[in-house]
Amino acid sequence: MKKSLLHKPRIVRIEKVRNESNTVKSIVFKDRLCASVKPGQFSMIWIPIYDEIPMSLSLDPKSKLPMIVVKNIGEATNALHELNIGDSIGIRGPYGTSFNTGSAKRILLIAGGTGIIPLLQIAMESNQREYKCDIILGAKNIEEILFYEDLKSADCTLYPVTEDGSLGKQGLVIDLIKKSLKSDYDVLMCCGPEPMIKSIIDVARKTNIGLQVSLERIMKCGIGICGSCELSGFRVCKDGPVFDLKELNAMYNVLGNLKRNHSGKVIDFNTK
Amino acid sequence: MRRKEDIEQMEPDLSIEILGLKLKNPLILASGILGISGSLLKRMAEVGAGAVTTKSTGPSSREGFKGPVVVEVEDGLLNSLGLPNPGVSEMVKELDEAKKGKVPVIFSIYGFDINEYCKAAKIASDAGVDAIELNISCPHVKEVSVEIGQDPKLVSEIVKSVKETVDKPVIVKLSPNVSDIVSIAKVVEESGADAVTAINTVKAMSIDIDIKKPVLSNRIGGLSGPAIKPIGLRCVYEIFEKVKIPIIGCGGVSRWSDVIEYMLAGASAVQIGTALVNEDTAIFEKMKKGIKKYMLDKNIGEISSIVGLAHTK
Repeated sequence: MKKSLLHKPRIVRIEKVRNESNTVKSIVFKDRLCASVKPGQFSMIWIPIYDEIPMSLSLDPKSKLPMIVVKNIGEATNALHELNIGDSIGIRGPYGTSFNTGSAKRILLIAGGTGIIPLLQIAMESNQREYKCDIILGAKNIEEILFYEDLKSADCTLYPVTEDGSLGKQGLVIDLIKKSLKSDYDVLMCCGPEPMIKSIIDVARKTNIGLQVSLERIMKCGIGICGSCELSGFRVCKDGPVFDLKELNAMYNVLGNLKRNHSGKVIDFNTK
Repeated sequence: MRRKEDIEQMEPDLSIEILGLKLKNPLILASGILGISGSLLKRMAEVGAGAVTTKSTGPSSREGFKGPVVVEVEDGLLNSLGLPNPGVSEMVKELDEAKKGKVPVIFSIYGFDINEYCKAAKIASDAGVDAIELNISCPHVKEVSVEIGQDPKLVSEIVKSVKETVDKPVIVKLSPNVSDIVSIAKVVEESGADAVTAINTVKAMSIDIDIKKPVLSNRIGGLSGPAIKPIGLRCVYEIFEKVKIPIIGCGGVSRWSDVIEYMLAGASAVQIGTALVNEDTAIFEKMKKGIKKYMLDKNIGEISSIVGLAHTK
């Protein structure tokens, strides 16, 4: 009998492609393992000829099938944007740690831009779960707010924030949090730009509220052995991508300051 | 009632001495596994590695290949990362952190010619590494598909030049992709190397039948994991018969009994890499526990006493 190979890409057929914004597409596919993805986990997506890249996994709010949500930022993501229904991609995973709702009753989800993707499932499932979610949904402008209609239909309270005020409050996510964070949350779950995450760590440290954050670094193997995604001695692919406050405290000085490039060289976080 | 001294005597001694270095146990983190980062090397020491090896580093930085760079195959893992590394001058900056793990740090270097090896070895040596391991499985730049390790004359020149350049212990990690690994090991010994590691990964490939293309972006990669253990073991056994310098066993060491097998074949220590995929960082303590139990069962006081026992008539 042949064992199934967990770390070999499974070739899946694309069932649906949907524009979420001018630069963001959802790609929906069928896959047994990915159907049981836990929120925050990721997959390695193989686009034959181009590359294999890490992508947050989620479930399509409409079809409930697994999906990746792709912002077009480079060669591989551009190739993903060219794909249509019926095309094939390779996938391994789900990999990594997930957001843990545990016994939480009140959760605040904080998303900056595409940061909503790993949090989406928590929001969409809240009507079948013990917890109640509020969501701060931040972006540059209304055009970059993702899954707004889906989230409105979920059993959550939505607080949109845009830098230009085109939807919801005008300003930054962190301004809203500093101004109006209620102390009755059990946990904050967060994904977005690292400076935002750092400010949220600062806020969380002053409260008794738990914090879980999804982070991002260059990943190559995805299975915890190559070290490309190392961050303060943690592997984002295996020890993360979702980290808790204790871990975040240990990596605080590196967050938003340093990262490794493809060669492994430590460089300034803001280097393109 | 037992006296305290008796109890202490009963604790099996896992420590070994190799290359003039004292290791708390014979389990060395293999090159290419997490060794791009000093903090991760330190962490591997803290979870029980007896020594750690850096990622192979050359004189200048390389980004490595596009993905997929790893793919699982039956009983093994295939990889072709493409030697990503920040260049030796950057890599030595990781050493301070790595050394906080308080175990010897072996610095792996590669090059595309003799000068590159020497240049990298010099910088690593000056930065205070405990030993240098030469990765000779990288392609020879003049003949792209030929590994340096397949050319005995070139290997000999590299070892001699590096030994002249640095006064650190030099280990040569042998490629199994040769017709006679023993003769290469002999050349390496005669050229002045202090130890050999056997074996590096075995050239292999994987093709996806739906995409109808090789999975690795580099098409061909190196096979590691349980699939190559019998090959590594055979190489160590044969090298032990003909070569006097210490051998570090490598290739598919996945459980404690593999360590014993390699040591019986003639390895003074072993390297562990791919086993982390399944066992993660718990692997070192798990192996140590198994080895200790074996030593108690077999009444072995010092692990080093079993090295090469499979050869005695």
